[in-house]
Amino acid sequence: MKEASAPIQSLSMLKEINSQYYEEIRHAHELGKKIVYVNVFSPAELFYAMDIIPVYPENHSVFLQARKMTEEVTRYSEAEGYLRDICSYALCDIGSIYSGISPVGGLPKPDLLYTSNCQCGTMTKWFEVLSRHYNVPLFLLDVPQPGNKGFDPNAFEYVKKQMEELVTFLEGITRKSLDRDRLKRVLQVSGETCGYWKDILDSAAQVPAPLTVFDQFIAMAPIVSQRGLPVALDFYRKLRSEIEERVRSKIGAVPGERYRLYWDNLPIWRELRWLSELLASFGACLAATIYTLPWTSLGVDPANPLEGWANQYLVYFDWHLERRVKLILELKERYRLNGFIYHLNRSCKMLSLAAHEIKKAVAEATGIPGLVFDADHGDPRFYSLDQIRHHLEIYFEMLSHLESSR
Amino acid sequence: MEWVERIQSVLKDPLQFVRDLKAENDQRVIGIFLPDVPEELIDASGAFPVTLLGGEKAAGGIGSIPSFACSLITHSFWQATLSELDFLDGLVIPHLCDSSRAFFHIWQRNFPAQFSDLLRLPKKLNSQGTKSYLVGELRRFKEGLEKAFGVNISNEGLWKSIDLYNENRRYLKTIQTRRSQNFHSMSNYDFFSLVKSSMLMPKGEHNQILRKVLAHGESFPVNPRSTPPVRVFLSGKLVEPLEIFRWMDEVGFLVAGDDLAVGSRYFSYEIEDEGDALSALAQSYLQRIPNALVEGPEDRLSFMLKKVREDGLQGVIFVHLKFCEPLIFDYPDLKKGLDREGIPNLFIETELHSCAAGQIKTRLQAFAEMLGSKE
Repeated sequence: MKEASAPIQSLSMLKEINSQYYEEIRHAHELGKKIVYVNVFSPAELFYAMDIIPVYPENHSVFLQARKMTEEVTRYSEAEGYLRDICSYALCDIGSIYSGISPVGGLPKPDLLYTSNCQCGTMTKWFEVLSRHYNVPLFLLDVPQPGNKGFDPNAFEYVKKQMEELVTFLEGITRKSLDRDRLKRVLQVSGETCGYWKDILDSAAQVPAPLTVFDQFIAMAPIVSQRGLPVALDFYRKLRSEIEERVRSKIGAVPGERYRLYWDNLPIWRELRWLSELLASFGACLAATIYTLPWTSLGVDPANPLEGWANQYLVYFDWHLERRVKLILELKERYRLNGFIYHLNRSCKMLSLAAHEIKKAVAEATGIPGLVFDADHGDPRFYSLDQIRHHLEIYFEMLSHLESSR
Repeated sequence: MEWVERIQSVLKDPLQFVRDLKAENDQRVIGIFLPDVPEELIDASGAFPVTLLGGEKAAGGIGSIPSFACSLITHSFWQATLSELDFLDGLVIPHLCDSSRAFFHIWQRNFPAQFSDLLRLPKKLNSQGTKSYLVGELRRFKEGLEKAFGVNISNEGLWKSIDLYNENRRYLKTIQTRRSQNFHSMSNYDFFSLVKSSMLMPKGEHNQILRKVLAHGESFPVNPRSTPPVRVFLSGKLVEPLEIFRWMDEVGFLVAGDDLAVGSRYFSYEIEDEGDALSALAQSYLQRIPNALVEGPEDRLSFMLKKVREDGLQGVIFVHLKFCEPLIFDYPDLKKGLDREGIPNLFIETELHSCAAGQIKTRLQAFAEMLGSKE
């Protein structure tokens, strides 16, 4: 085993940031605030500007899964009649609601729900369950992404109209008009935070990379849930300075960095440590991923936010096959990648169905083979660590031959 | 029964039927996916729309699509890789679930030269922008067909197609009502064979067949049952293999209501004359029976309960296609809602052309006996 690099100090702030967040949502009503459950790609800034705190059932499920509680909670959702064939985030969340089991004391009851199918269709169905369970209204933002057919003004008008309806809906719930100046200020903070996130991710282009995708997975919670708040801005500013320092001192995240890899799809939350140590033992650094990338570009123009969001959901989040291939090829150049790993995530049909096609296309374009392996972002009943290790051993052997033959 | 033989020959090998049809008529064939693709627009463009519903020959297929996509998708992909679908001149997929959308892009990459369209029907029906978006989307689709095939789809031509399809829907609905009232009129198997074949055959010929069926009047000798059947509501997307309906016949069920895409969702509406045909098509979409993939004005449970009460049904059978996520999410609350009302229900899971036949038969039998003894 090679000696591990010095850990990134700023990440230790996360524990406190997180517990503050959960503390605040538990006392939201006392603070005169409402709770909205949302999907991760939602206009967090709009909610914050209206004294509605966004709460993320997806993040809650990440906690459950990372703390290895999947089997414990899914017993309850399965007993309610939910099958294992749905997304394990939803299965864990529903199980946690019915059992009360949660590493953060559970989520407070929502006052309203918001979700958008710009991310995936699963969220809509999951939130419909929550809406019936809590008997609270659900606002669905329907986003008919055009795929590779180009910009569709008709669809844009439809999404924009719904964004306006969302504001009216929220004003009805809070009985307050949207304060546009306040929204502008929140958006400015959010834009700046996303800029820091971008700098942090970009720094992985350095050789050796000062941080890995695993570090990004760990660091991403505040940019998801507290985007637009000073606490997130402060955290990423500190994280960025520390990363810059690592770049200056040429501290690599993986000692003896030999492979710089792309990671496709969601993390396997429960196995982050195991997998990062395993990859490091091959001298492999995960340098780039599609998964953490969106938050580099979530800023919208404070002068025209509703149109900005409509455009973002319709165009930016339309991650169709051709665009994903194009993205990976760009990342290969930018991050000097020499390998590609595709997590075939049983829970995420949206990102997984085309994985084999994407792998084929990238391999044809780069001459570098990729590895597709079966797992799940949160349900260990659908993968085997031995098998994953075996696949990786073979893959690195192949990359090594390829390297020596060049 | 001449028509029974005709329908059965189509259902036995739908792809061969369409291949022959294409050779005979020299007509373009457009494959479509479930549900809700406005076939009238394709018909008005001069092409023949055929619904892709898998097929036996897919079983030996190759191709790298994950096994956790539903069998409707894996079968279609495998059929394509085996050149079983090479008669198609195009493919239209409605983007309703994540898998169908991903499949569209996989298809497009593998068959880039072919006409293909991802039809993005709205999933939210209560926005003020919904109808205008939908009309615009249908217009985009229409113009795509016109451009790809060098044709012009006139409002008049479109109404002609709508009339033809309305006639088909009306006939199927009449037959459904008739069999719901008189259990001698037709078996489940024959009725759902008629519905499925309607998605595979030109509507002109299918309408002729349905006229013959209706001309037979009230007593139809196909279902010579002596005891009253157990009347049930069927919920899901599609029931495959079709033999499941035979087993339902054998144990004495009569499917008197359903919310299937290969069922009532396909024929239980008529498009009303509104002048502008695209607007009329859009309006009909907004008023259909509930679907798990669309946030509509009526929820699935209310619809189910209404049917069960109004038509005096004795139970509900859920038939789910494995891996269909939207259906899985809805099921527990639907079941709870039915349980609360004391309505017995049964859950069955299938995959196209591969299901645990023995187990399904036994469970249907036990459910029929339970409902029978409640009489």
